[in-house]
Amino acid sequence: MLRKFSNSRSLKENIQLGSLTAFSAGMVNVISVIIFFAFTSNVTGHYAVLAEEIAKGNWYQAAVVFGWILLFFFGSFTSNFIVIHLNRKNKYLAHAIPVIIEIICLLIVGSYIQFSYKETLLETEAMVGLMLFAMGIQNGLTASISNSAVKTTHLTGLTTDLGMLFSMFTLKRFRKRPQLRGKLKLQLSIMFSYMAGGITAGYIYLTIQYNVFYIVCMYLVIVLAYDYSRLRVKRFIYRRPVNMNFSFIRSRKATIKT
Amino acid sequence: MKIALIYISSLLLMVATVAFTMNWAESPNNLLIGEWEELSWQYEKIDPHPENKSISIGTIDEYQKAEISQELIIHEAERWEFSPSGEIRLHKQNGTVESLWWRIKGRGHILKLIHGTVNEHYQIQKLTANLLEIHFNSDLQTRGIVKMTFRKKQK
Repeated sequence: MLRKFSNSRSLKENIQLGSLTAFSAGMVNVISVIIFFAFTSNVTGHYAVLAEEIAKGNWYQAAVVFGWILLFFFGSFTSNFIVIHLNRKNKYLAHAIPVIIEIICLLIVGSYIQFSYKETLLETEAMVGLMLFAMGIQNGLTASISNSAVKTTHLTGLTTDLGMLFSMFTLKRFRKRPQLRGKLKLQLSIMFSYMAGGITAGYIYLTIQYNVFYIVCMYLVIVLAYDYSRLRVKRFIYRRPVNMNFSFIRSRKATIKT
Repeated sequence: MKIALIYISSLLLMVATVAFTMNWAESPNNLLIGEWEELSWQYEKIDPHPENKSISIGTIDEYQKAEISQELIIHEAERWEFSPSGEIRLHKQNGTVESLWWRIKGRGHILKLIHGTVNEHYQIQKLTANLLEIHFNSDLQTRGIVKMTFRKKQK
């Protein structure tokens, strides 16, 4: 799910990656709206707010929103930077490190809320910034490793694509194309997962509050562990026939000698 | 090497711009601290008063104001006194003072009032050194936004 890159990825892997990460993005976004009154998985609204604050002359708020956009940008920059620089050395690690950074960011937010949060404006701004950075990392990673097929933290592009796809499916020749049908499955799975994540977070926040952050982190750890276990299994499977061949060659050599 | 320099200097420039602007411009937190006097209550949509149908849309009489604010923490408050410690003292019409807590959320656009276990959220629409305009949604006699305007009391 995480270790394959760009065009070598299958539809199934993209659906797995898209739905799992979209679920966590949905959770993070809803929680940030409930606790901080700010969206953290998308920046389209923040651009509009930035323009509005500049127009109103609210320079403090404009600087805050600009800082948030910058952090989302920097998150995306960081994950892609790690992917392209480490990809040749260790593909799994190159894709796992951004997820680990994301987990650390969310852990910091969750534990800060639990132990130190006094609800001051500066704390709120910093927490939202950290979450936007985490979401930038996630979005940058999924887009980077799927050749921009999977973007999970915002649904504007996805909804546009879905609208286009459904309009294309009014013609039979497009309905028959497996690529387009695959794209539809991917987009729908991301959309439903994002919604499911948001609904789940909103629902469980009523009982467990800030602990939702720990659940998101656990969820991301499961994504990492699942991928790592698959990698181990694959390595094991690929090694076995090689060893069998060697033993076969060795036994042939032994019979020849005798 | 050259590209690294360009990247680092651009990043530093943007971070410095944000830090400088946040430092130079007044934070909503600081702007809010002080005493605010209620100027007006205006409503997006309102049912006509059962006995006084001459009242125009948008304005309100005391009866309707009392009815609408009955369920709110700010009920009958005329002066709001924000202190830096996060405490807010609501000076009411009958001379009593109620003490609760205030917080600012989001990018400084949400005012949260905490009264025990009850929280109320108001949207800060305008906040300058002298003027405060907050909105909240009501579903009682008014349908839509209620706009409250305050003027800062000069010391």
